[in-house]
Amino acid sequence: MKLRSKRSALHSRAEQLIPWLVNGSIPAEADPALREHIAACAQCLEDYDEQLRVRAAMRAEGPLVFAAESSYQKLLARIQNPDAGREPRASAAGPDLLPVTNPVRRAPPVVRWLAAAVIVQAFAIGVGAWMWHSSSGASSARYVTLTSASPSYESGPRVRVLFRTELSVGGLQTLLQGAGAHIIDGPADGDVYTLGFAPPAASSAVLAQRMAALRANPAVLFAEPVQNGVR
Amino acid sequence: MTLAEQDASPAGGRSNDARECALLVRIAGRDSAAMKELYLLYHRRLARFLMRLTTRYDLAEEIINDTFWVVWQHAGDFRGASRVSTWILGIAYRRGLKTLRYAGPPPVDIEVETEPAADEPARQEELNEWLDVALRRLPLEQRTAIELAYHLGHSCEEIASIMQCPVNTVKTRMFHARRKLKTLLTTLAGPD
Repeated sequence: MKLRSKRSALHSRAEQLIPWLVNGSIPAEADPALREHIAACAQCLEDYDEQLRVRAAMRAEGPLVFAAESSYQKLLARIQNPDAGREPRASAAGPDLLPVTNPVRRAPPVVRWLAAAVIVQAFAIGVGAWMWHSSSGASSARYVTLTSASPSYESGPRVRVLFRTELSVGGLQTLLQGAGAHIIDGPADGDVYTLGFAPPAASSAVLAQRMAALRANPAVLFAEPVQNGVR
Repeated sequence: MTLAEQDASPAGGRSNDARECALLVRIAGRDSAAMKELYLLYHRRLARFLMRLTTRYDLAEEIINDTFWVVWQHAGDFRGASRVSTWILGIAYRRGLKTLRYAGPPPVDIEVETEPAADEPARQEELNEWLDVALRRLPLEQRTAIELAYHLGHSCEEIASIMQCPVNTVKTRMFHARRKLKTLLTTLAGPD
């Protein structure tokens, strides 16, 4: 009876401590009784082996390449000219490391009144433009020439993509046509491109289909949707 | 031995820490060469960690620079109460959470089509892909705990310090993360 309860206590402890045995933060020589239990208990041994596999998979190098040098140059510019660079949005250093931040200043009443007037004016101009656009008919045919303005993808969904370096121009064109996508920015740091989608891609279902098409292409190393509000 | 491996082994961790403490002292004295050395030492580690935390490439780079902006400003405040890596990861974690609060909801979750498992045991490559999908479906705290433990090799106490929570909370998060991962990986692998 006593032996069974000791075994049960060891089993419970093993269930909690297996991750720390697996990652080496509990030294190999520590707690021999626990290790003996794991070696003898089929359930614990299976869990231990599985966690070893998970850890190995998580430590595997992914295809992403981060451009550390160019990112550092941005930080250096911020360090050298802190007034030009943006401040962190809020403290992340913990309670003992509060960065010095400027107190929020309220604008004088006159400035606030002017700002409100500008907003009202902008709204009125927007309504007027919409009414003019509606009355002039928006059913003009889409005929594109070299001098036509490109369609705007400002408001649509965007995706950051990293292509394989071996991808040819022809391959890229085929890939973009297949996904209904257009390059709207890039290459940025790490050769990342920003793609916009030809309409209709507003619904998440359509976007998901197009993302799946991109990701299924072996020439695409990485494709991630860009959040609303992030340009 | 990779940097992550050095960080995971206690002896390697200690020697790294002495070097990194020395860099922090130089950074506190406004030595930009030391800043660059520490930045390049941590960039890949932080990038991976923040990609896992935010699941967004664009945010990860921004948070790394915000983190090192804090390091630049507060290197002199580091008292050695923890390893340098624990301190930096803690800053990155808190900055990541704050950035996520401003950034809004996560991106569209793309369903990954999976084929039934082959007769032979699943290859490591397949496990890597499924694991990536499964980790995205874990709650943020569980995903972070398992990333800190398995990818970066931090101890339970260090993770508690980084995530600013009790040690038992870390153990509970890891326990639930492992159980959910097991269920998700079984589902993704398909029927036997």
